Amino acid sequence: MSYDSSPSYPVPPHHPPHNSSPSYSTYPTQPTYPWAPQQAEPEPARQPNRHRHTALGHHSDLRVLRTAYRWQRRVATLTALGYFTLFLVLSAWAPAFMTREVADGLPLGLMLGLFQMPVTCVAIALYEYTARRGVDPIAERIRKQTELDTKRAEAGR
Amino acid sequence: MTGFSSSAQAMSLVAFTVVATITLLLCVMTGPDRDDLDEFYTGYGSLSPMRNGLAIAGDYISAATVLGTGGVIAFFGYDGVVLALSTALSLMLLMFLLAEPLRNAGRFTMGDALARRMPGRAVRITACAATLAALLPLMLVQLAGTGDLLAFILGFSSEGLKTGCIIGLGALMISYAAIGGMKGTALIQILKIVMLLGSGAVIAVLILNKFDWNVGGLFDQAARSSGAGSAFLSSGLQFAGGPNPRLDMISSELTVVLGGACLPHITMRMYTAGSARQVRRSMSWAVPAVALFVLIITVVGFGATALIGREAIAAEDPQGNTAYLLGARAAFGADVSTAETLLFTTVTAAIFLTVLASVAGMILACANSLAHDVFAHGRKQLSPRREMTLARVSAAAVGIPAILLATLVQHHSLQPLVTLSFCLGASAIAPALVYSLFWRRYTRAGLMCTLIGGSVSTLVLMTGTNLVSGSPISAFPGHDFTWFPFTTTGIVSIPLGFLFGWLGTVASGRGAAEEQRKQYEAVEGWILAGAVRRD
Repeated sequence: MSYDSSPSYPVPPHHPPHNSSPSYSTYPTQPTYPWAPQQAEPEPARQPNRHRHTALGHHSDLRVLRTAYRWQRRVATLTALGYFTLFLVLSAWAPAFMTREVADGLPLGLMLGLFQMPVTCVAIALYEYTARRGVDPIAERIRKQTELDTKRAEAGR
Repeated sequence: MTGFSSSAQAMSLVAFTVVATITLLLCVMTGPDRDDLDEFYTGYGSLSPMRNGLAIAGDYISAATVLGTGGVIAFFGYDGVVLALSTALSLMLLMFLLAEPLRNAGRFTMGDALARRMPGRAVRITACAATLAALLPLMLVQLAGTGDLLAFILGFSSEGLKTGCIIGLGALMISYAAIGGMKGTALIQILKIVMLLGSGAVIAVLILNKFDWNVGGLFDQAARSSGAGSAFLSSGLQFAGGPNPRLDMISSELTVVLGGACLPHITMRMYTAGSARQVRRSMSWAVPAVALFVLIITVVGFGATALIGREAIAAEDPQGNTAYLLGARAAFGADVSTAETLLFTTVTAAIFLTVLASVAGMILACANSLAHDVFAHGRKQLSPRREMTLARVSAAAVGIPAILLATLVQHHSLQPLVTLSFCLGASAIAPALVYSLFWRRYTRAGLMCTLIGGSVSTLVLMTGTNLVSGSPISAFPGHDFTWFPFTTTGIVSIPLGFLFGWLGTVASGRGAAEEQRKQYEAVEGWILAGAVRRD
């Protein structure tokens, strides 16, 4: 589970809308992926009237990031919590089901429980992967933008 | 079955001395060398994600987890495994939900994270009070347990010597926190988690080897030796006897899930990472480390019951706190070679280091909060040098009362204190963090209501549970004034904590909420993207 520490991942491509699915097809829970509003807008950095559009782009970036984060958090948290609550409820109210033996002497409940540990590792890898693809580049862009804004404001003073 | 062989005891004593010396030396060598607050409080985010992740895991797996959960698994089988799983899930939820925004919003302490949107002295003081209230019980448990643990490993029984152990080790823990700061304790935590996982993995392999790698056989043998038969392998043993055991089980586990990772000594490690990405990558090391430990403690706990039986474990300690050690010893069989004695010494040394390191981490969290939130944000701005001295004095100011209280409670049942910590974490700290990081209209009044209301309702409900009176493991076993039919307060106090926050926000009016919404929007880039970190 080691990832390189260089921040040089690809900046999210400004796909044409019909082409935007492949890189995010691993994330079926996001029906409207938050690039959509952004693509409709002009690329702020290439605009001649820079200042006004920077502010605009900044806000829309923040909205995109908010949505991306919100989806990722909700899906990840609710999946983990939901699965565990289901496991608890089954343990409490369906003991006959949970003590059914799957292999020699190994009850289903304990196997499901211990199986959660490898699942945890897979879930983390998936979370890390989606965050790198979906969230990090936008956050990076906003950080750079804010730095630029601050510098400009200081220079203007 | 009383005590260990004298050679093992002598080796353990030598190992403890070596561990204490080396760790203290590490602290001195790596402690902050200039009067730099950032270095003392966060170590400059200079740890690599792997090291930071291991330090988080080290802070998270406290002695209460190793010894307490080990005992619950050995006694109750399935319910203990569910408890261990809840512990691991809690850290995963922290990673998914809170870790990154918390890192962006906070600087040194929980007070910083909460005061990002709602500056003010009252917020900081309340945050510090909540930190102390949630961590003090957990510190007491581990400090008070130290005396018995050392008495068990080293084979003495004098009460005076036990109290002496508590005081001596307590002083050692305070010096770790005061000298090493964040970075020094991080190194100790790394050393501890590596030793704990390494020695534990070897023991687990030995136990599985005894059963020819047949996990089903291990479970069967454990069920037979537990005296409970097949009930040992299904839910319900631990909470049997209460009026509604199933609901009790679910609410207890969910309290651990919500409260475990929100405790301030874990969240403070989020601020040591250099950026939100670093936090995420640290956590992706920490969670698998904890998951691995869950597997180890399951095997060792079941192995203890399977190999020596429930009666033998209960005879050593009615709470089962020594089950992990007994299981480790049983893995070696009757006569042990020198190499096996050496290996067993590694296990005892890892446990010893676990106690030292987890209390030191908690003292540090309390001291940082006290110094940074209460004293340094006082009347005038303090120089960094003064604030650092203050943080070190605070470590003593927190640690010494904790030691004194621990010597007083060492003969009482400690289970209620552990539960109290987790309930406070789940009912006061978790709602406050979730609301203040994600709810834009959350107001200062709402925050105060969450922290105070959540804590007070937990404390009030706690007096009615059967952990305080009316059961053999309660704090006052001679009395019976239970009025709350659950073991933990979570089922009522967690919803109450969230409800108080909502009520407080609604009661502070539309104007205040709107004000907060604007305030939140001003810092949203900060919280979400980590833009402009310093003010």
